[in-house]
Amino acid sequence: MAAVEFQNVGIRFGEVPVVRDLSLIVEDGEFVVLVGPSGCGKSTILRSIAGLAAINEGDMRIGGERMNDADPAARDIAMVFQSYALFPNMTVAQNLGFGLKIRGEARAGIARKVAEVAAVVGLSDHLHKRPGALSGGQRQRVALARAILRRPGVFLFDEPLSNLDAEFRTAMRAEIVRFHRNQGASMVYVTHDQTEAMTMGDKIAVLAPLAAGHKANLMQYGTPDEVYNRPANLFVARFIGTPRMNVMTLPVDGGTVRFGSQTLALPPAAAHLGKVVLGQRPEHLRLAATGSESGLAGSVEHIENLGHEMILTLATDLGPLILREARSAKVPSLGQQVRLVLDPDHVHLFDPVSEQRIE
Amino acid sequence: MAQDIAPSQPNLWPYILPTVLVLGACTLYPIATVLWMSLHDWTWGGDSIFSGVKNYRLLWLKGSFVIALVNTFTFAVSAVLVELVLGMILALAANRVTRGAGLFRVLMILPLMVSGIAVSLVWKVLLDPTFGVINAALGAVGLPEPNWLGSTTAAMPSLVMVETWWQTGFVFIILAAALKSLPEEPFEAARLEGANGWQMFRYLTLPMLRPVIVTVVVFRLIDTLKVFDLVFGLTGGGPLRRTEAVQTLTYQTAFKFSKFGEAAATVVIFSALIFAICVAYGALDRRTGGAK
Amino acid sequence: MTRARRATLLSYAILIIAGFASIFPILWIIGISLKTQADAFAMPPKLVFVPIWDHYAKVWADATFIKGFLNSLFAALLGNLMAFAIGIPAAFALNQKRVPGRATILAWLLLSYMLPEFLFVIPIYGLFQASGLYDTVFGLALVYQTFTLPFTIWMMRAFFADVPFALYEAARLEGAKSWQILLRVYLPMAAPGIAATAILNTIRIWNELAIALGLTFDKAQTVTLAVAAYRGYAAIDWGALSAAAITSILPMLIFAVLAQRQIVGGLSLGAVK
Repeated sequence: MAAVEFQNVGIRFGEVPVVRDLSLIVEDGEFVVLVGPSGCGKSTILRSIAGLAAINEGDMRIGGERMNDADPAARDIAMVFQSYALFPNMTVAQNLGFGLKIRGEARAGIARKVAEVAAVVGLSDHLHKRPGALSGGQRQRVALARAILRRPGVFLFDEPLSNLDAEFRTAMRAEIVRFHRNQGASMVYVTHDQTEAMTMGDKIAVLAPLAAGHKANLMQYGTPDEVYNRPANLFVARFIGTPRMNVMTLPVDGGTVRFGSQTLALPPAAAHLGKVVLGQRPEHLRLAATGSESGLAGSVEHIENLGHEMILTLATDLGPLILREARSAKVPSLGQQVRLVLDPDHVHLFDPVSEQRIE
Repeated sequence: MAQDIAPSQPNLWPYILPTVLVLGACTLYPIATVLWMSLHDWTWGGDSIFSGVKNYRLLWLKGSFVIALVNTFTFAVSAVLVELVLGMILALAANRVTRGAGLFRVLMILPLMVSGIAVSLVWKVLLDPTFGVINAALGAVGLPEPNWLGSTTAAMPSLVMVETWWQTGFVFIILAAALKSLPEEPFEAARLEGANGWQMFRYLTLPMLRPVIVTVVVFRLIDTLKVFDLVFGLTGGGPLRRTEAVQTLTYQTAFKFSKFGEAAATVVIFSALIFAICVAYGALDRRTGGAK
Repeated sequence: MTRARRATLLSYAILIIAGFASIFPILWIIGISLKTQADAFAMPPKLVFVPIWDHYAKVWADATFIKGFLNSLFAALLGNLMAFAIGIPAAFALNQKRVPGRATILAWLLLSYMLPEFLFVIPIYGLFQASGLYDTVFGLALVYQTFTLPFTIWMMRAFFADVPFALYEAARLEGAKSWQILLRVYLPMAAPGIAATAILNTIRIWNELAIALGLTFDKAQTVTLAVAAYRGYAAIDWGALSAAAITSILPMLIFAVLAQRQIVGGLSLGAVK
């Protein structure tokens, strides 16, 4: 059974549509990441699962039951907030026990459950402290423990790592993934960070803001590999991957396009078009051997040395192109004339009008 | 942040209803009654006879209301001006110093804790023309010793002086807090541009404090217009009505002379004036995007 | 000496003079309240004298004064209780964005706070005479709601606004009802705010004169009226007058010293925030 299911859901703030025509299924036990730039509605979608944002159109089901109008407390979900939303006037133990107390559980039962969950997340020594006395990572764990205590069908995470510093974020990322594996629960996780999306999710839902003129928010829904290797449209192609995918619009001539002196044959679906949008990730673009006349001429405009690799920005007739080169290779110097060659096996083609992928 | 309506937004009217009821009983009933009273010849226990605008005409003819109104505005405007200037100077000074600022703050809020009537008694003793310490001090250095509360020329300025002693602390506290909340970068940038102290005050501090100043002035203005305790305690409106205020006149008219209709008419006009100031402030506040 | 140093010195000078001007009248009256009649009227004024407690003894033997003191205490207690009981739920609700009529109620509160005392006193005088609330502390505390209730709601709303909305949402997800969220989350977090509000309400009520003058006669007379009764001594018995004034303001002065931070914070809240 699907853990969460959206069917043609629309959400408005007043008159302004924020989510339109969203259909998406989170399977039982799946870790789904909602990712997109700010304004894409990712948090709103998450909040609509929790019951904190009203759904104006369509149906939203949790565990097969329509939950559009259910009380937040009755939805079989638990949420970890971006700010953690811990009650500052209560100790860790009281924070964890709050929900149980509200639901009328006996005091002894509360204490036992709180102790259990504290042991799971390694907070046993901090139960008597207030949130103000905890580190960011410990607060994160309290928030997680509070969610675990509810034993929900679905865990919801609203950018839970954005308040942590970079080093700790990586550790917490691994911890949440491990937690997912152990619990086997369904999770919906919102982030604007594509690295989190790529590394954590079983599936990624890439969302775009309606304000930018998109007809619906959901741009692509698939595994990280699918989203990275076969982006469904230009938006996804540009959004996923650092540095960004190189994208150029090229005229089609007799079923082929030309990249400098390099000729690429197009598949039948693209051959009849007047123009086509061609994309290639920086790691697939290569420098031709010195003295070679193949490919496109360019000059080195900027070099970013990352230690293990170099990111080159090259000025060409087709605009600036980005290239990623392993540190071991011989690296050209600034201003040097070079020639670039496309890897024909890793070319992405898009319709210039619909911006959809062409196979 | 997001203030979306959750699907099952709880009904919050039960939380507000008691306030609406109390507020209604405490404001709507008095407003309606006072309007009605002002249009009647009103005596306790006796019949009330509709008299139209007679009470209002009487106010005009007798002249004492107009005198009280002029006195009240003179008092309020001068007191607020002095309090604002003094409060600003003190706030700027306190903003410069590091040591003793806490002690100074306590000293400045002490007068605010004192009731108007106690303030009156304190100053009555201090300003006593014969035995008061202030005239003793003035006489010791060879300065004239005015009859502070007893002479027609000095009574109103004396009242303003006492009011200023009493309430400048309020203006100071608020301006000092506002000064402290100002960002530092613009001032550092201005200093790098070579601005002097006065220029920084004139072009940075004042404009940034504008909404707060407007709010403080309106609050103090309305509070001083409602002056009652000081007049009641210090001068009783004299000498020769030079310090009679609207609220003391109202009190006398109603409780001394039992002319409730007339007193109601003064209240109606006076409340309308205060209402108008509130409305003007509301409009101004919305335009300047001031305090919330 | 640099310009900046001169400005700082000038600032200190201004603050010292103003601080002295602020405290001097109170200190002087305390002095007079401890002087004999002869010392009080001495010319030039005596700075060194043998303190006597006779005037305080006289004031504390005055049954009217004691009654006023106690009545004011009750009025402050009752006025605060009413204001918080009615005002806290309202502040909680008015802190939420989408409450119909929110702007109207807030403007109405402001207006109620601003309108002159005798607008309330004159019509309510008749009502209270008829209903038996005249000359009762309860009636007084009720009319005091015209200013304590708006003030309480304003202050509490500002303190509630500092509580992150995510806490409200988190509590709702845990199944808490609105009143549980108010009691268990908002109130504990706003506890310092409640203290500040109660202190300022108490000061206001303790010092109120006009309404008490109009709506009490004898048994519900407040401390300000008891002090006002000593006005007549102005020309004769400075000692008793001063002792009465000092006794009446002492509780509030102690408040000011102990709860300085709350008072300053509370006073500046409305205007600066």
